[in-house]
Amino acid sequence: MQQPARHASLVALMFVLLASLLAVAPAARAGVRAGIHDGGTAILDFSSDPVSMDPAIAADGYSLTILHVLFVTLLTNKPGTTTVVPWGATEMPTITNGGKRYVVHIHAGIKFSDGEPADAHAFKYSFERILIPATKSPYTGSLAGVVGASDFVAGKAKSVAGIKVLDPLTIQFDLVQPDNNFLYDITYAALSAVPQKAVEAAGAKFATHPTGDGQFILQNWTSGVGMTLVKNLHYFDAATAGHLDKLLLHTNVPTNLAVLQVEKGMADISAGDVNGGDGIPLSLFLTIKNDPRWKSYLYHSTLPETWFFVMAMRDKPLQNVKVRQAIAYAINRQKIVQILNGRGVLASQIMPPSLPGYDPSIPQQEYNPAKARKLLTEAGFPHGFQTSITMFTTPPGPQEATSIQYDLAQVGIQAVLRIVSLAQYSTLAATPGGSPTQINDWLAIEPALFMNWTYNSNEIQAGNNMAEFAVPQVDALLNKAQQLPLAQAVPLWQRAQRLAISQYGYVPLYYGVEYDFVNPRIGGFQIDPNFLYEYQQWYLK
Amino acid sequence: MAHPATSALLIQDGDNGVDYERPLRSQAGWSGAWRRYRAHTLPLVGLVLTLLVLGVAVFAPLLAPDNPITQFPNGLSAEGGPRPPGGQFLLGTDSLGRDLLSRLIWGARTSMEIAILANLMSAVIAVTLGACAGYMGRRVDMLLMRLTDLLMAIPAMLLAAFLAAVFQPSIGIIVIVVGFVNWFYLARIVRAEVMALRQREFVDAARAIGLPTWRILARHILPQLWGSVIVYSTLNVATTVLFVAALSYVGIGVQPPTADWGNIIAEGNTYLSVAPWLVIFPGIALGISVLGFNLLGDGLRDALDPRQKV
Repeated sequence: MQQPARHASLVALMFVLLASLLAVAPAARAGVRAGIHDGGTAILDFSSDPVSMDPAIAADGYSLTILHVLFVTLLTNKPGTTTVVPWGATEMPTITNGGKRYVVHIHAGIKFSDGEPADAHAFKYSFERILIPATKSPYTGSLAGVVGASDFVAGKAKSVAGIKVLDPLTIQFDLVQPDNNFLYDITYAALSAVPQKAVEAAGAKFATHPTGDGQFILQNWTSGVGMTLVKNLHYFDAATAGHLDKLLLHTNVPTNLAVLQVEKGMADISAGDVNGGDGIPLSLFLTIKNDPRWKSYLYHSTLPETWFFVMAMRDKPLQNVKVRQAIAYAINRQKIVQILNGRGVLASQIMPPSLPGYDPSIPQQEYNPAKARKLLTEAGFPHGFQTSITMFTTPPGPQEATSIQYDLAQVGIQAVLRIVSLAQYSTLAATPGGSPTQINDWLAIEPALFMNWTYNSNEIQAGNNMAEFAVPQVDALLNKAQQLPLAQAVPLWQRAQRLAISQYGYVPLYYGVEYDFVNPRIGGFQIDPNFLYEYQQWYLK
Repeated sequence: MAHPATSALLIQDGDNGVDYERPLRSQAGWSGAWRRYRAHTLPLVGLVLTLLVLGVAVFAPLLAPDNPITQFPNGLSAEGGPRPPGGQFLLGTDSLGRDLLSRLIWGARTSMEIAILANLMSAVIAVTLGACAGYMGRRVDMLLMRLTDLLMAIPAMLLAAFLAAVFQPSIGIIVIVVGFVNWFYLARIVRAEVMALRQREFVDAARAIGLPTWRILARHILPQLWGSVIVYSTLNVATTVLFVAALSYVGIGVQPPTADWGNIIAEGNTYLSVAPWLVIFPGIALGISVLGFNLLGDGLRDALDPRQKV
């Protein structure tokens, strides 16, 4: 138990330093808010580099956690929950015209670090920038439902007719049809405001030298080494401002080493990698979990993340619903959760328990190899068949795939594993017909995403509905639900899901449980379902 | 040690109406080679170890206590950790609850198959190209060696990853891929030796009596090279096992659930502090086979060296 003592002295030293700084610089903004001391530096270890600091481009979880404190969006999720709350907006949008018109009032005084105001014009500019093909943004889809977006993309219009600046602090969105997901869409970091002048001056360099308006400012970023974020002293909202002076992000630190650094007090958190890889490697997890020294270092939370087994419903043997049902019975999901050392909760359905639309009446899929064999015989495959399972190389990917491969072999299905690099995996997963079966997951706070990406046939082309699940009745329910306010959509999603589950295109495996290894000197830490980390809440105890 | 003159004389010895082209090695015959081999202890130890490893590989189905891919329900602790050695699982279990001993025994088969075949393949390519380049010189040498340079410039892993991505991963493909990326250095060694050898008197003598090039290469030059080739190839066996593991890591090596030492070590090394048996036992197995092959190679080099006397 040497560490806490050492931390205590470190913290004491910092207080002394801080006090002396305050004494000589009374104008400094470091202060005390609700018993939380501002100031100090937190050190984070990441095992890979973030991809981009341009909100229009970045789509990896790692970049998004950082962008979340660099750029202000109209709405965001309340930290630690999946509830959407205003941020850059003064209140939740006013929705009129049968759910097709959203009017948002923006806070006065939001400024980028170069002085440009982050007002309605900046938001309009940013949204249109995403739609311009030259930006190559992966987020064009989130604005596809806005009136005039397609004309703008095609170059037929100079601006998007459905995005109107009513006054500098009011922006209005008109949608082609009602869409309850739009509230969630405008929480995306991609749909934050960006400063036109700085973006145009920086060109492609904006991705490495962004000018933002969030709680922190990116001071420097050395690819492969790390980045430094410093507190934005001109941030608009005292209630959501950051506490730390500085965040030092070390990149490319292997997780084994990162855990060791946190143990030694050299870093504050082992944050894993760009692809959502765990900060605590599977191999070290049990040692850490069972060591009383690290009890105060461990945080965990069940994420709105569902892992599932996908069967391409167009594939020959998998066309038969009995074959798919047999596979569902054959997979020992409990064993997978055990292999994960309990970092998962058995999933009864695609919709995770923390989101509206979760249906507690749906029972867990039974593990019953005998029944699976019987179903296979009925389907005309008494001796099984050959197939393949695609999965990525990052642990526990291979372990999960090997576990399912073994389960399938027990009922006669010989599955070849295609354990491929993450890049190759993403391509294969998104290619219709790219892989007969695979393991994949959704991690999001939008309930509509879980339903549509999994079960709506209009998501096949985009590569989201990987099973190519296409049941007209389910489509009709989902399309109708999309246009209703959330509370009215829930019963339709639940009906759609009950129908869809009996088709076995997807076998829900487990809900992801995130564990983080954090130095207890960091206060205000909580695992956020949307961004994992909410750096603005962190302070030094 | 023999000296050049002796070698030259050996050729001339044939001048009694018998065989001009008799390989030099046969001067003392296989029995001579064996006599030289067993004269020292270490080569014998090497032979025993190698035979042991190969024996395990060949008789894996008889030796393994369990099926190497069975995931035992009791093979994991309640929390899902691997089981330590002892009890039902003599060497413990891996992260999927499989018996480590059985996986090691079957893994010997995969690893040895790949290591031996791949090295055999690279040796054949290296000796053919190296000898042609070294003996023929000039343009042939230029062409072959620049080709080697070109291929050497590409990192082996990248080249292997490319080749393996083009083809579907299988043991056969891995053998071909590893064989293909492994021949460059040996080809250089062979070329250098052949360049030196072709200036020697016994080669001059062979040329003087009108032997065709291929025959000079095959019967007079190649026997001189066995030492280097065998030593290089046996040393390379261990490297190959680990290289295959690296291939597995990028998803193009031996595919799970097939047991392979490299795979077992690569997967186990992250568990070093938690389940050290996952690295220690396969490490020992690999160590034994490397030692065995190296000692065997050393012994063979001495025994097969045509200039070596008992």
